[in-house]
Amino acid sequence: MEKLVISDIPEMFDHVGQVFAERKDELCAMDAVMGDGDLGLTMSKGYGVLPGFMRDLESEGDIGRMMFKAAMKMQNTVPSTMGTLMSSGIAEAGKAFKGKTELVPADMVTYVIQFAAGIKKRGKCELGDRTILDSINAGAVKAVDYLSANPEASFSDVMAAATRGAEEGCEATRDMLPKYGKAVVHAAKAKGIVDQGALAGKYMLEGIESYFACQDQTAGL
Amino acid sequence: MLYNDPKAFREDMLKGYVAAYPDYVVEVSGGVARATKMSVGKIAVINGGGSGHYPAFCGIVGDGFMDATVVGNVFTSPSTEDVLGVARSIEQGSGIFIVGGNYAGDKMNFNMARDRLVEEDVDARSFYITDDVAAAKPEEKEKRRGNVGTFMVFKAAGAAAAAGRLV
Repeated sequence: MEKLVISDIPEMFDHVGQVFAERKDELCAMDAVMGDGDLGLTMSKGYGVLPGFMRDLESEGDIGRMMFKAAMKMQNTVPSTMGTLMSSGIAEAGKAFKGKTELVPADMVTYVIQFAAGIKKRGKCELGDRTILDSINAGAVKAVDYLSANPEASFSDVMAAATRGAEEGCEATRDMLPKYGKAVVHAAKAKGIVDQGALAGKYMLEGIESYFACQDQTAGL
Repeated sequence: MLYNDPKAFREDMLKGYVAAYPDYVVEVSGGVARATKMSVGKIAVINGGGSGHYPAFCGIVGDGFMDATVVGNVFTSPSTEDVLGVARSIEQGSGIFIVGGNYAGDKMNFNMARDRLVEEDVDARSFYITDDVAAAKPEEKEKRRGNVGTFMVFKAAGAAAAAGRLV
């Protein structure tokens, strides 16, 4: 697979939705300890409706506009903190893709970078605050490094690098204290535990990675 | 069936509330607004939050208090679209002041709506209340959440706007 066209994007997010459907109970159980207990529901619902919103907007003919508008609709469907952060990430990537009718592997690196920027901008959080930013940013750094060392990298390669980075970012949250949102109240319970928001960020990247892995498999790569 | 569909809880609750108090509130997209006319040139003041605590903010909509309130789903922040729906229903060209408790989700969604309104040339501003002294130490007081003290601030903001002293 050398490029993505607009009609491929909803299917890519279908894979993200599938990952969150499988991880729903796990995320809810983690969030019950550190937050409201609804993270798995929010993510599976939000990413469950996103591909449909995108398909409705395919006639825009512009990947960026489609992603931005669909992200806004997703935010309206799941307006909780993590729903808003996820949609802010997608919307920010959408802004960077404005006018694009196809994406190449380097654009997926841009996607992860912009996703992190969107979260930081809207959530006003910093690295080390024990949030989703800690996994997504680590994923972005790894993907950038991988691409600069391997300019001919495939979609699967860059997303695998992003997921590996996010995994490391998740592990790093075990030693971080929450400084943001309701988790602050439960700070004493955070030690040694992966942040559930950071993990949701990793699952989002895993979903995209699984889409490209499926495409490679279909193509017999 | 002996009970309503839980998925339509917010909508059903709002319909019931405005039907019970038609002299005070009307339903608007995303929440309720005052049924009485606002004076010309008055800055609109709105607040908002999730549902689940009653009558809460719907009960403080009126002259000298909140001009409208945004109603989210049960213990969930209202969406940006909800805030925009309420803001557009009440703002009359003199600007709008959004006041809320310092909750991460509420704050993000209210600020996104505020930014969208500013892009539409509406003078929209927001302020978040941090009165809960148990939520964070004094050196991190900006992280404190809003609690019962929010009502005094809502009243003060509403009264100041009604008296033309909110600038």
